[in-house]
Amino acid sequence: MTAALSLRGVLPAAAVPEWTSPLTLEVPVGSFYVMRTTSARSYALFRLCVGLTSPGQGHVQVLGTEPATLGRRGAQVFRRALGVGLLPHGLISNLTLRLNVVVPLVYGGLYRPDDAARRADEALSLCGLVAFADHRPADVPPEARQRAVIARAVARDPELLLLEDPVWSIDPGEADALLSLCRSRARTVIVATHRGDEVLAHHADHAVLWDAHGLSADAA
Amino acid sequence: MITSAVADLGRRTRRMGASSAELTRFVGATIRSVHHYPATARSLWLRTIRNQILFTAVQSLPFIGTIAALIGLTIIVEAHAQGLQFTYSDVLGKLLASVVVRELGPLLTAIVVIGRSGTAIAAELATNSVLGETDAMEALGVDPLQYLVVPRVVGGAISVALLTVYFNAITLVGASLAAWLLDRLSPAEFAATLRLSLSAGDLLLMTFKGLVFGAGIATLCSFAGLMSARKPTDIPKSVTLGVVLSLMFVFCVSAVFSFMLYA
Repeated sequence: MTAALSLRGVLPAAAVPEWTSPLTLEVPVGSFYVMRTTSARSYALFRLCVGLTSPGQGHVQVLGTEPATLGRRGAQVFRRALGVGLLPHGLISNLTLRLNVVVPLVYGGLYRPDDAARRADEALSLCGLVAFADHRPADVPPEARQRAVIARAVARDPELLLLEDPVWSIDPGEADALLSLCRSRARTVIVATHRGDEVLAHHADHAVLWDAHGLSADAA
Repeated sequence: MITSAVADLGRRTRRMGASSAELTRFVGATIRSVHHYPATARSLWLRTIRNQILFTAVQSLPFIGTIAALIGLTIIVEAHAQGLQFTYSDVLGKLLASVVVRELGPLLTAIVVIGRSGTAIAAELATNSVLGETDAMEALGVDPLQYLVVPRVVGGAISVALLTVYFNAITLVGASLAAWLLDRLSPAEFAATLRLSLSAGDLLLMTFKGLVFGAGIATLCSFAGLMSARKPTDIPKSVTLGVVLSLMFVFCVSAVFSFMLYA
């Protein structure tokens, strides 16, 4: 397998006004891929990648698997290899940040509760969230919620990390450290951003712009 | 005019058919998800069930107890007003056994649980959907049916069964107190009249009904919550749908039980 993500002539089944021409794209395994595009496109693309929606046309392959062809159980097993931070952040509002990291590890069948708690504490610490670990998402600042999304995604050391605008509210120095963490914990990282970002550009092996004309190298 | 009315009826019927199919799929998927429950999630699963029982059963004890005591009192006051005190031994046992223990107890307990916990389940799960929490869970390999629905169904079933037993016990205590106050019927005489009309089968049936009602309420309210569209304005609609489906369910199941056992 040379491509972590491969799209061939893809259009989503549910119409997305900004995604009207088929998309073809390949993200090599082991790369840090940054895509600048609108939130409508990245929202639709990442949901296709994790199998929450199906393509209306074309083929989506993620880590050698077509997520849309999997049943409920198959999709659950496939997603164990993914670390995902979509927008909205989706932190479970009645759980503390620590449990927000623990629950996917335990319910995903990846780790026993003790191991999951250890991994969660480590990920929260690496993301600078020790002070907020026992707070609920509504009780912490937006920037801490963003860090928690990253902690939740990297705690499982995923094969593929999909992040939507992961560091927009975090100051550049700390964003740099968080992106380095992402790179060290995941084999392949795909980041969608909705604005030009120097820190992201610094980390990118491939930076592309996806606009109304299709994909092109991102000069910004 | 007539054609548009027929077309409207057709649309509604088709929508209802689609919703029923969706509900059937939801129930099937929930049952299937139990087989694949991750062994690693056992302790968290038990914790969620315990919280559900705490919220649904334990925290509603004062409320259910008050209603039960008042119903027990009311039945005896009505019996007294109708002059039934002269035939207590014949009528009272049968009245309380058939009306309260077999029918009213499970039904009223279920209605209180729908109002208190069913609405909370539907609102909470609809909020999870609206905030993108269920999508995030799924994307991370967590099955929302396993994490959100199954523990609520198990906790709801246990809670309603326990509450039904509690409701009936308090109703009978309230009735005994009223009978003693109004007609000087001692608790021992009261218990003797009940013993003649109540069997172990009635008690088992009451508990079983509680289990079925609780599981049904939690399933239907979870369905209403998770099926909500992604708009905040859909949260109250989900709550209303959960209440309506649950009320229909408990009244239909109650009628089916009565028909099968006593008709």
